[in-house]
Amino acid sequence: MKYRFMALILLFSTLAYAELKDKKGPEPKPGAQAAFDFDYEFGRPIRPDEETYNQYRKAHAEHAEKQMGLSAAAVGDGMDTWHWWVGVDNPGFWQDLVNLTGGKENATGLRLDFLRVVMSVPRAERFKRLGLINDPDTVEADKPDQFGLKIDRMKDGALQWDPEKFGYSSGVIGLQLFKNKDFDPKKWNAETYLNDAKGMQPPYKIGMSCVFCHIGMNPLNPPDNPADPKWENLTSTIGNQYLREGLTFGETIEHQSIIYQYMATQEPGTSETSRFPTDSINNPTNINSIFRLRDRLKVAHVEKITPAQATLIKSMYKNAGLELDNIGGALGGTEKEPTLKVPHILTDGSDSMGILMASVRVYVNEGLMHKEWYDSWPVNPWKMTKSVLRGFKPAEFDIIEKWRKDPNSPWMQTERRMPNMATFLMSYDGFPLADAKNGKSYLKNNPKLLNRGKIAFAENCASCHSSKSPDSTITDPVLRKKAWKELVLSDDFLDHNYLSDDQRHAYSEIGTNIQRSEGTNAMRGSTWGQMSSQTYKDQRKEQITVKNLYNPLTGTYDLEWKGPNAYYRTPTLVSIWATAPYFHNNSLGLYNGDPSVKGRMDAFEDGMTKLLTPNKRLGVRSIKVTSTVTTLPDAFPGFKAKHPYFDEMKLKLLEFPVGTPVNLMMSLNPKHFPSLIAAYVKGVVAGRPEKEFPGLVDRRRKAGIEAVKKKMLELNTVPDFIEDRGHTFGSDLSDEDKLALIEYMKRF
Amino acid sequence: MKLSKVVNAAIFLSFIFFTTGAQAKQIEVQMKSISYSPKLIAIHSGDSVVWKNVSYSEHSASGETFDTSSVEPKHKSKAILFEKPGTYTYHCKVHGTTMNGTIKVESK
Ligand SMILES: [Cu+2]
Repeated sequence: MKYRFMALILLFSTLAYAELKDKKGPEPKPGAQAAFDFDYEFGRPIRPDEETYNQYRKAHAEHAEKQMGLSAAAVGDGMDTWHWWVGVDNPGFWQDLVNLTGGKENATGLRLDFLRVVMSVPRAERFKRLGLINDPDTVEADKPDQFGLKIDRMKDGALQWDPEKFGYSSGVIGLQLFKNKDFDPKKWNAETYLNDAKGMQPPYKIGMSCVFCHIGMNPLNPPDNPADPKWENLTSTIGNQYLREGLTFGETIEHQSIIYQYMATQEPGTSETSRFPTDSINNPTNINSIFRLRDRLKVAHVEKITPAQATLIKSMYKNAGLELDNIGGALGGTEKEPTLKVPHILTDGSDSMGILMASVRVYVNEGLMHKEWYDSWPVNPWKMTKSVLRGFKPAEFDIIEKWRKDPNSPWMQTERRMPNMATFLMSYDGFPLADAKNGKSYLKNNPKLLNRGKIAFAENCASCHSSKSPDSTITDPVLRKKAWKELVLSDDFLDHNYLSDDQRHAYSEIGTNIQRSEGTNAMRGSTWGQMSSQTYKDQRKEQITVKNLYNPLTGTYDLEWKGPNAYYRTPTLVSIWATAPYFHNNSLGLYNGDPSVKGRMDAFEDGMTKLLTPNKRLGVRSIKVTSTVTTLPDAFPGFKAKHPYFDEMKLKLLEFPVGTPVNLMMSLNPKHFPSLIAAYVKGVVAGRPEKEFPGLVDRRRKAGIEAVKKKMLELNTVPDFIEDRGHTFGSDLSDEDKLALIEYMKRF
Repeated sequence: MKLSKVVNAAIFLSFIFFTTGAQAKQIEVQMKSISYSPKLIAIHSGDSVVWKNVSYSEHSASGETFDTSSVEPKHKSKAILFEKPGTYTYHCKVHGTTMNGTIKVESK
């Protein structure tokens, strides 16, 4: 039996990767010369009345200098990095994924291929279907280019940078085209490539930059047509709340595939950053807005790091030209017990080594130094056998010993770009509703109501959702409550207030869905293990039992789960009117895909109402479930031929009815799959000898599947299925207080 | 392919032109969207080069020993005089080394 179990491990664990073979993706050697050069084909000339990125950039940089005293040159340079830098080599990462998933024999249908996306989804539908934002500097191609590719073209005159460094726009902001040095016109055929990309190299590779996820519609000046925004309708750091990351990868998959269900149920505006280096938890997290970074840094916290990490930080600061006490992560403590004063960048508070580390780390997630990164993945699709042999154990992306040695490595080059990017990120305040188109019509001018709202905020929210707080010497509860009230009622309470304490709070205190906080990628031995503080790791040492979780198989709240205590850091409430739905997983409140002021206000009202009145939430209906009968994709015909018994077993383990929780399957460690098979066989034979399995399987398959589902629940990494639960603070308020609080929060 | 033909023709023509013993000349190079045309020119010492921006964005022609500074669309650069024989590579400050050109200066 053993070989079959092994085979099944392979089958399941490669689901997300779709291919079985151990192979290295092709990658040009650094400095390799292009064998074939060609001219990029521009679109029509830019019109005099059209604003280009260059003007958008200039206006923002000058504004930042004037309003905030930041260097316009630094802001502009940082903005270029934010918009177009792909960490040197991430186009190679995305090309590896194309070549991995673009083969004909990939029956999962999963295509990690941006070139296909930009060509197959019409410009007019990209935002509506996938939340992708069209680049105002591009126009639709009127005919295929010299290679038969119909990709949007940059308006002639809009390119104001070196395309070797920052690429040509693909038409989608954040996806940049780079001439592919491995392209061979003699081997090229566009039609063949789009049907079966395996092994073929396209003329352009596509790289991903930060804005792909982070740019969004400007709440103050949304476009009339979201498919055709101008630069004035966009803003670079709000976070793309409309991005359908899952569908961008999975829209074309057959709906009865669990992979489609997994991709389609990913909440808009979230990114599943532990998809590739998987933590075996389906836990996408919202793309954060980046507002008032300077005010946020005022509440940075001192955290312990290891001496090796301190040495690393010193070397990084030297490379980037930063002082050891820079405000993005001031080094302190002693040689033996060093510390860093840091903000908590990511939702789970794991990103805790300062702004420089947090920013470069993100580039690895986008594919920087991907060849080196793959080896830290628990499931490395290019080295499947090795992954199986080490039991799907992750490894650290080793910047202490390895990946920073070459001063010109993509990591080192990226490091040097980060200080200006940080300056750029400091250049955003919030978006006051009063300044939006018709914004004032949503604001009630009622001082009494506002006062009531402020008091409700002071008593229920401010202790976490404020970067200002009363003097810490006031400890008496009654006096402290009074001090909070005075502070919130003061006229300048909202000025320079990050509206978050930027602290980690245990989920046992917050009560929200625990899946994201339980992510393990920043723990020692995992991909980001060197990039999180010791304090973060120490805080997760305590084991706790979570009780009364919802059991989707029985419909009762009787599940118990043991695991490490874990955290969420407080999100900012700055411009909360514009950032619904809420919670770390964007699961709370209406998603309407409408970036107009009215659309945002509808979502805000709905989200806030559900926040404050939990019985109006979706609850059990927020569980991600299959929308159709779902089966395992018939993924590996070649594999099956080699293992005839596979067919005989009729292992349609995933023939689940409509409404089956997606996370039964998608939050499982692949190492458990042998147990699932064992459960299946047991369920079918029901006490009879196992050798009777082939004779019983046809009529008892249902019993087998039921047994598998039970096993899946038992072995689930984090069996917390209700997405929009918890954070019920304020639910005891009177209806009048709730309305007043909502009215006040429109001003954040 | 096409481009190299153009370049070859330009070299050839300029070769013929200069070997006929003409006076010091001013040669014009066009700045296009993301390239110089011709990309490669051969001139004689004492000749000068002017870059004409026929594209829609600004460019420069910047080498180790010379720099036109920014040239707006529809404008021409100042003339740059080349006296010392040698090979001069240059690029655009806006578009980096992707937009590059070469001037071969031969002695008279
Ligand atoms: Cu140029």
